[in-house]
Amino acid sequence: MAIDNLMVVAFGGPTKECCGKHAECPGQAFCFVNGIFGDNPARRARVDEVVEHYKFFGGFSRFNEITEAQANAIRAELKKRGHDLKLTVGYDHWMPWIADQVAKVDGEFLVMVMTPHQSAVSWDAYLRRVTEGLEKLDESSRPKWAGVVEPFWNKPGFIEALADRVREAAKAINADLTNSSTGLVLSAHAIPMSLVKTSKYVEQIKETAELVAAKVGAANLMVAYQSAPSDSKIEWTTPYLERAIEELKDGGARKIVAAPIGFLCDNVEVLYDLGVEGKNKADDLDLPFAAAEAVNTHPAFIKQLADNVEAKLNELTTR
Amino acid sequence: MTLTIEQEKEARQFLSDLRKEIKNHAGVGHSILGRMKTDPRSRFDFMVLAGQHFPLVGNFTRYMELLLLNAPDSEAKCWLAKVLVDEYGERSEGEDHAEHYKKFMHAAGHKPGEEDIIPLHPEVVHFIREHYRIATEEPFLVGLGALGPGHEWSIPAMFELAVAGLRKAGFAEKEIEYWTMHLEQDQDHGAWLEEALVKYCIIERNRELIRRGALLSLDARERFWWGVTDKIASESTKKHLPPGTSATHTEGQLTLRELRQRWHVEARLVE
Repeated sequence: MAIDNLMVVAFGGPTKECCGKHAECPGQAFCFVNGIFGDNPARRARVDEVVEHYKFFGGFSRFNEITEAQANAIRAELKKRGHDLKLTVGYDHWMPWIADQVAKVDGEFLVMVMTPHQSAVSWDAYLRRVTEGLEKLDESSRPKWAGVVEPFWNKPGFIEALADRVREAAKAINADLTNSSTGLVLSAHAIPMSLVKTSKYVEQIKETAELVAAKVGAANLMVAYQSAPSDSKIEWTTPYLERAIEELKDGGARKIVAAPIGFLCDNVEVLYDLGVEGKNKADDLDLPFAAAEAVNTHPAFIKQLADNVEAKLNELTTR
Repeated sequence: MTLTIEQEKEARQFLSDLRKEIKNHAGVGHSILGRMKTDPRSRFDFMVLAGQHFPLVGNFTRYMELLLLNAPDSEAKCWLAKVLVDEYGERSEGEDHAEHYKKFMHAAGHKPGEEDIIPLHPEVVHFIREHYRIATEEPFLVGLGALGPGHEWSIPAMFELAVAGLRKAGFAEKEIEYWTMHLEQDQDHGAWLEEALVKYCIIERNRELIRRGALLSLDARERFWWGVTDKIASESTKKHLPPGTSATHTEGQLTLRELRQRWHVEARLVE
């Protein structure tokens, strides 16, 4: 059987569609964030705090729209190369749910995980949803899972796309990245140290950051972590974004360029936690600040993902 | 010891505030617990959870026994002893809690004896090590805070969510008795505990020690739930996909049998 399907899986974000879980809709952003925490009353204060970030941007996220644009662009690129794959996109935390989307796949399929750095709560969690979807189906109607596309944290197209975004941001505040007076903060989502112990998440982020810094010739780099829940008192990956900006200033930086290397699209965490909170911190310290766009549909990034899919197709068809 | 009305009021206010703090702690409100209710999980997921949770169940009695040795008075000893009697099986047909838990493990899919050879997430080991440390090295009231409020006031809230998930996953009531039994017994333990704690809580320093113990235990609990989250997500990948697909590794992870061989917990005279 030929591999004729590509399933793209990602975290997801709230859209205008109603999830239908509540008799009276409390707002899509609330349902989305509350769902991540499992509707647990103990976390209500944190849920409300994050919902406010969504409300700042109108109550929705462009996560799904951008992910679908990325997936369509990858499909178009693969079609140009002679691979006509049917595309399915599903999310862990919003509709269309990964487990439901699996039922729409007909035939043999590859899965591409839309996360640059690997940990159990992203990479494995989304793959688990695919399994969950498969297990809901009768064996006779179950599509065949051919494999998983390789991750891309250190691949040249991803690094090139990130470097481009960094250069664009630097240009906006006339910052010279090769001069140590420009601090470059490359940020990723914080995770608890409990998860660091079993994965290469931190090493992969460090490698991405070093490759991007080398590409743009950055003289003053710091890796930072953002979006850790304010109500958790255990140790998460550090330094946090605000602290990294302070440290860069203490070390002599006079301008800050920040880029979300751990995120693939301009979702609310990028726009708010990096764009708003990061800028507020820099403003407090009287530092000009520019936040780079995420890679989104940057052509080099799309080409890289198409390369990765093609490589997996070739590997599996020459078994 | 007779308390003044003012002393009792102050102590009970502290305990009420502590209950609220525990109820809203990120360890009690961990996303994996909520999602057991809202997001049905399979028997396989609960099998993974059981393999990581069993070592906590099997060690709890020992922390309590160690703490009992350091209890300063009969009242505290009585509370600890009452809980211990339940743990030994007084209200569960003579079977201790670890034996009850094994029944759940077998219903979830583990073979008898397998509980000793499961690689444990480092946060499972941390939880057990941290509670032995608290029970033996910290002041008695820190230990009481950890094993009292830190456990008895948090477990009913956590288990309520777990029980909802277990029912959704299709477990029969008989199979999940360990969990449902705790919903009832820990309510009793929590109430007995509150009465035992009041007399200590008239002093500011004691309140600080009890709160510190509760929070130390809950921080370890939050880390434990992250460990379980890690295991549930990654074991599914390891079961269904080729080696190397999962983002995680189990390098250096110890089993319960290896822990028993490495650790020796003793109560001894120190001069």
